[in-house]
Amino acid sequence: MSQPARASASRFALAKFYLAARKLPQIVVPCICSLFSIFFTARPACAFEFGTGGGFISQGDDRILPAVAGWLQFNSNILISGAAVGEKNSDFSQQTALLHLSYSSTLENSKSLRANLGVGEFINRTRILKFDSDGNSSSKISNATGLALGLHWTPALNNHLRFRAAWDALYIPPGISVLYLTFGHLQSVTAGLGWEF
Amino acid sequence: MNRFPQLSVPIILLQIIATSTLALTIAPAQAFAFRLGLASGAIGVGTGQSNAADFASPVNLKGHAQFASLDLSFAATQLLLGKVFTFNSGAYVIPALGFIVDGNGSGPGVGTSFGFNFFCWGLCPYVEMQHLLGVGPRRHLASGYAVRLGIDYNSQSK
Repeated sequence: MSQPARASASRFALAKFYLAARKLPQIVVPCICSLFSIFFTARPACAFEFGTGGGFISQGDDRILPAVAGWLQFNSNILISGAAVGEKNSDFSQQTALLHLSYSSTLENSKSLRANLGVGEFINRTRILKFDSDGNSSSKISNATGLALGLHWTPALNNHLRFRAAWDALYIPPGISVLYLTFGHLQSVTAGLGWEF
Repeated sequence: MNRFPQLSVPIILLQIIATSTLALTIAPAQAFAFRLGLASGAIGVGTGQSNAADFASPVNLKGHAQFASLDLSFAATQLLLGKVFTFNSGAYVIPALGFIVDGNGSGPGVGTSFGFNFFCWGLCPYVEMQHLLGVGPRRHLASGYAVRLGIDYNSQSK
């Protein structure tokens, strides 16, 4: 490989590394929050519950998309939950997922009503199915981290089976430089059955 | 200019609550437990999300009256009655039922408020995030939110 070609490849690798590094905080911050939640709030006795169900994700007025949902709760207080939806139209396809890592607590004396507070991630992939002159189609993946708040109703059906109706919201701040009380806002309403052991 | 002329009645109610809150702040402690408060901030109710916080706009105001564990909240965006669940940390959660006002159509709905009281000394400043779901005419589904900073009077706070 010639000297200019090596220099060009080196610059290209550096640019790729720079672009990857810019996205690093979006991955690292939720991971640190997760580890903090797990290590500082977990109790020695472990109890697990996992479940799945369905519902919808609301991206705004009349923007309701049917979604599948799943969750994993351990130590009674740490909840990992998510809802995902995919849609395909003639011109584009889109996949959206909401992932929440929350601290879950029962409300006063209630055994089945719980409030959740944590961090959430919004992941969206949009692919335009129209082809340009080179025969390529365009796709874009965007994600954002925000504050996750949720209200769950989780009555026990028997010793191991538990129903869960969840109403979650994700508040996404526009950026550190903007200190208005302005947020992007997504909601999900889901219900399903969980197995605890 | 009032961007929502149809909301003049809720705004008058808010003004009444604001006046009552100020009057009770300087009144002697009451024998029964109640709270009265006023908050403002940013709302997104079908009028183009996300909206910047505007504390002076009457549309963004919310008043609430709380007796025992029942909370009645008035705003240009809602009229909700809910049950208050509190935590020792000062955090609270209010699941509520009522009427949701939305730019694309209003109707019955539900709301949940997640808030946190801090530095309570007679008056309690609080921050509150609220999400709303309502059903409007012609199968319209309203999905709104509000983030507000407020202050309330607690009859039992020293």
